Amino acid sequence: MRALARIGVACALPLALLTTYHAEAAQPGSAVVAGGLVVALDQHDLAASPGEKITFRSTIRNTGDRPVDGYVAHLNILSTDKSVYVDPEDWSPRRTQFLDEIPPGGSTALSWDVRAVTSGPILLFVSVTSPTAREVTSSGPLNMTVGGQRIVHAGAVMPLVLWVPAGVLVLLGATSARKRRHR
Amino acid sequence: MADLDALAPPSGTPTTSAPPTGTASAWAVAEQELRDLWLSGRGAAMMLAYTVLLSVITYLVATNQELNFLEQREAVSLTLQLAVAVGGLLVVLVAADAVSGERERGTLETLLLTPAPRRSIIAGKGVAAVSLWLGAFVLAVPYLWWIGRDVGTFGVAVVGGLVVGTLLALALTGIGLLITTFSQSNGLSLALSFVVLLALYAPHQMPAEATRGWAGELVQRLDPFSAGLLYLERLTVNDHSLTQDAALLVVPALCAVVLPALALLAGGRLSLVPRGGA
Repeated sequence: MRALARIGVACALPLALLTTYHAEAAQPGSAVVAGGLVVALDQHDLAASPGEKITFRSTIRNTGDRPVDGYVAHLNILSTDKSVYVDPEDWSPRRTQFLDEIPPGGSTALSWDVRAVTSGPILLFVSVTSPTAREVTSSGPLNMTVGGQRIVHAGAVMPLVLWVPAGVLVLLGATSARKRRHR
Repeated sequence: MADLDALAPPSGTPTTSAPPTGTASAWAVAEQELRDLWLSGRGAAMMLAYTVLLSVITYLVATNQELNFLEQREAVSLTLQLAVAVGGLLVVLVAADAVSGERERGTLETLLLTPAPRRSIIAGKGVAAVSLWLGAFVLAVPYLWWIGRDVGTFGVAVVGGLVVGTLLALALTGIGLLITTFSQSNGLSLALSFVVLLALYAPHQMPAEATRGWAGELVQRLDPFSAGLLYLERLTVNDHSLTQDAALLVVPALCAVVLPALALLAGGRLSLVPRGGA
């Protein structure tokens, strides 16, 4: 009996690996398989400028033999450069989506809107978790390079911030002087 | 207060002469109100406070590390929205004082005795209030140019700011004139107008989570302030065209027409003591 179990495990392992391989092959957009779900993104690499809005899609496919229901998808945003500060709320205010039931072999597509905020190497991936949160399935990474952040440079700001109010102050003085003359 | 001599019939004019038309007397009142506002120094003092505020914000945007973290288009958006919001505040200040101020100073009776129709008085005072926004906008242009010159947002920021700001200024003038017509005291009129202004501004300050869903989006579209400021944000930050989000300007445009019209209608019933007012 024990020998039979060993043979079963020995056969199941390559089969599982083969299934994983096929799932990855079927979803060239970086997919990771776990718990019968495959999460794939439609893009791998992306370049964006600060302020630019990008949209990408994730496809969640149920490779199991039972329907999945109540799953939650979440978009993760982080930087691989420790000097780059990322507040995910700034990048995408809507990062959690609740999935409808996916039948066996079925799939659902989710659209994610992200606005590039700061320059640097940014990593995005979508994780899907079951309602009991016992397992988490993640997509592969979407590497986004945000470059060329344009910030306001402090040079020559002083003349502007001083001269405009000063001009108005002169006008105020002139109207006051005119008022005094007319009294 | 309007210079009453300009509205009174010239000496020696026969009493049977035709009364001035509504438009002519409205212009006469507007001219006097504009003189009173801009030549007395009141308008210039408000503009000084306005430019000092814009200067502080621009300086912080350029030098403060936290604000300088903003992308340049966001900095343009911040300055533009601030210019429009504070410009609206100045308009409310003048409009809310228009009638209740005259009442409190005891000059409304004399004004009502002039041959100018009552609606013309309200219209003339409304023109003076809106002029404050136009003055504020002209002064905001150098700041917008300085912040947005490198990112190509200066042109759309100026055009969008002028359109949205003028619509909001007209709506706020209508609100201020309506409140002041029915207010006995100037303090009450100003306080009520500020509360309305804050209530209109509040939805725009809600966290992004609260503006989601049909209710949140509806509030954003129905509130003229939120809709106008959202339009400006999309114009400057998201690089939208001037017409792309034109639907957002429907409510501000309606308010810009309906509220001043209501104020003019209510102005026809202008009296020394407000009827049914506080």
